[in-house]
Amino acid sequence: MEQEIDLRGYLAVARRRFLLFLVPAIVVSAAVVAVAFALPRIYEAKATILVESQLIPTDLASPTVTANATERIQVIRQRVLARDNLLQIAGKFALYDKQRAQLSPTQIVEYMREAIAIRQIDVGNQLTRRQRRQLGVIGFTVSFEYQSAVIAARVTNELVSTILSHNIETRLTRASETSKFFKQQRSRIEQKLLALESKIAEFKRNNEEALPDTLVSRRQQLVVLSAQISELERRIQWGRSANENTSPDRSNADQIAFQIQAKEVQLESYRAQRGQLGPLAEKGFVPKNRIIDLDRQIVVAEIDINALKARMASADGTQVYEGDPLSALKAFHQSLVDQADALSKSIVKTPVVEVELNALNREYENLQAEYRLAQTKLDNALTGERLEQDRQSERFEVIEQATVPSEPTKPERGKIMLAGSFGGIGLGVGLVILLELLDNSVRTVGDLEKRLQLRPIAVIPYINNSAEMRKRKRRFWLFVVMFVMIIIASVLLVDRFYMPIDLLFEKIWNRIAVLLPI
Amino acid sequence: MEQIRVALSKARTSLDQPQDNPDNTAAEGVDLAVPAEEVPASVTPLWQPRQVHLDDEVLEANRIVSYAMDDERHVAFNLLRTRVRKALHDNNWRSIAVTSPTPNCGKTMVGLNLAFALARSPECRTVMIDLDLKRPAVAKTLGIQPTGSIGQFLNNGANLEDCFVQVGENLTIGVNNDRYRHSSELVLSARMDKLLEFVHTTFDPDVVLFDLPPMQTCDDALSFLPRIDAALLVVAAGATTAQEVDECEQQIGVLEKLLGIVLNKSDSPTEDYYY
Repeated sequence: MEQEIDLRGYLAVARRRFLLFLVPAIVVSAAVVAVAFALPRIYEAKATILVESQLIPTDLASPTVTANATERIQVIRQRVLARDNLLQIAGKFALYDKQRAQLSPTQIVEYMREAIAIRQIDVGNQLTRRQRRQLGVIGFTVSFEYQSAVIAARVTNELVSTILSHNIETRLTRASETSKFFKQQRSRIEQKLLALESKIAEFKRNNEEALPDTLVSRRQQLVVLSAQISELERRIQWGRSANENTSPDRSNADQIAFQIQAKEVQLESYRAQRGQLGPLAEKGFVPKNRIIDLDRQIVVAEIDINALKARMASADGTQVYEGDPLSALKAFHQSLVDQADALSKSIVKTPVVEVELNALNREYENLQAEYRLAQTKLDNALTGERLEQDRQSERFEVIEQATVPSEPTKPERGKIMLAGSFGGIGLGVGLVILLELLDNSVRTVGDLEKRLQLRPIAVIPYINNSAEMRKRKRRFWLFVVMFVMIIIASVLLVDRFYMPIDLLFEKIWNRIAVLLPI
Repeated sequence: MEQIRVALSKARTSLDQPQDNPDNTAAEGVDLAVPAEEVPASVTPLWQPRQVHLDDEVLEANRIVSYAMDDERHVAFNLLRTRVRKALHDNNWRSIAVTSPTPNCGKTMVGLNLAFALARSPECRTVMIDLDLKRPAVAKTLGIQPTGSIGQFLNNGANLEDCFVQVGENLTIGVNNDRYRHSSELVLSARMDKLLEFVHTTFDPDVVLFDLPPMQTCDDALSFLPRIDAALLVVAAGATTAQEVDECEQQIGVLEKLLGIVLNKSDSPTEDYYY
């Protein structure tokens, strides 16, 4: 019983407040419909760009541009949406011309930023990320919304070409920058190498006498020299002693002169030998020992000659040559001693020199390794540059150009109208509910009972006199007419703006016919 | 046979007498002293208020459905009538006030319809008096042109006979035509007593209905309540708030004179009237 009353109660409310519900609902719906049709139509043109991965395997030839596609698309988006770029496009196609006068460039840029959309195409959620990367299937769409379909398509294609040219430019620039960088690296190392080389050469020059590779021969030389020195010292000694206790011996003078001549001849031959063998020795055809022997013999011969001359001088008291032959010997002896000194000093110096030289050589080797490395990198960079130039690396391909859209994407009239009608109905219902809640009059026996615990002794229904009845009838017929008109109007609207009615019916019939058990 | 003829002629003469009287009401003064007991019960009283004929269209326009009985909606008032009569009978009540918390509840309509419904029973003489001295509605509702006015009587002692009209056989209506600011004082005046006495003596009613002003607009009803036996509170569905009903019901209930509440203008669908 209670349920029945409630339902009737609601019906009564509905009947009572019908107008209050209807008028706002209709007004709002009508307004929304008007708005939906008044809104300017906006068309969206779309183009699709595919990112084709490199055909040559990357381990054979690695490209220089290595950011993944998503990042790159972000970069592209930023580039495309750059203010200057947008303003240039706006100028080229005379966008937003009607409102140009009131729009500041910043606003134009804002509008365009909202109208442009660059979206990455999702291959599908079934692939894992690695699979996606391996397949290298990545793409994105570029779209532009505008009031004129033709211009929208044109702008979209302009954006596409901007993107493509930017991309190529970027890649080429990057590749050439890379190779340039490595070239610079290499030349820098080259210079270092040269500097080091000259430094080593200078060092070697400066320390020529103490170079480690001549150590052995120098030691040998020192031995020889030491022997000569001691020989000389003997001779000197002999000469002195000869000086002290020799008397002029005429008969010896001739002998001595004869000996001197013989010795001189010997010396000449030695010298000649020496002269011949010298170059050969340098070339290594003759052992060094031989040369040393020869030198020794030469020296000995010279010493003998000098000694003989000294004897002769002492024998006849004449000086054969300048200076005291003894002092000449002494001078000679001194020079030999000096030589020996120098040699031993150099021998002592040699280990130190050796260490330094080794350090320099090590440095040199390191630099060489660096150089080789730089060269390798440069080679890679050059290959990458080559790839880019030949367009063999990853590149953008337009797989779908933007065509002129035939239908507007906005405003979504259906949705707007639906939402508007719901809103209107909601508003109407809301108003009704509001008023019902605010109304605290008693309406039914139930009200009286519930609120005041009173039962009326009689309930008199609202009595309509004939005037009111007529009014009610009129209102009823008015509603019927309005209802019919609304039905007709909506049918006409659907026919005109959405789809011809016969087509619609056919569609619906096809859907239903499948379900019907005919 | 002879006796029958005599009886018949006697009856004829007695029938002739009441027809002369309506013409004389204006001329003859009513002698208040004439006791009603002197008049034989079966014969109509000496003085009769003038008879009025009610226009059906006016009644229909003013929603008076209990008079002609062609409208099926009069059944609701029959129910009311029955319950009222039962209450009257149970409590030995004779005078009923019809009031409401606020104006425009339809108390005049309810009161009149009830009066007509009551008066349809021959053994129930009904008198309805319009005591709404602020906005008298009874005469207007019935479409009567009053020659006298109760308000005038209460105010300055005009003729009382002129204020009453006869509708049908069983129903007398006391009409009012004037508005008075000091209505509550008038209602409490000494002349009120005279009026009541007049009504009781002249008409000997079984039920007297008083149409009073709304309780919350003025205090006439409240101050008149002690003078009557019971009150009907008419509330309008969708217009009267629960609070108003509560207050008025309490005020009447305190005096223990609430006959009942009538829910008027209800739009809850009730059963079809199939009679």
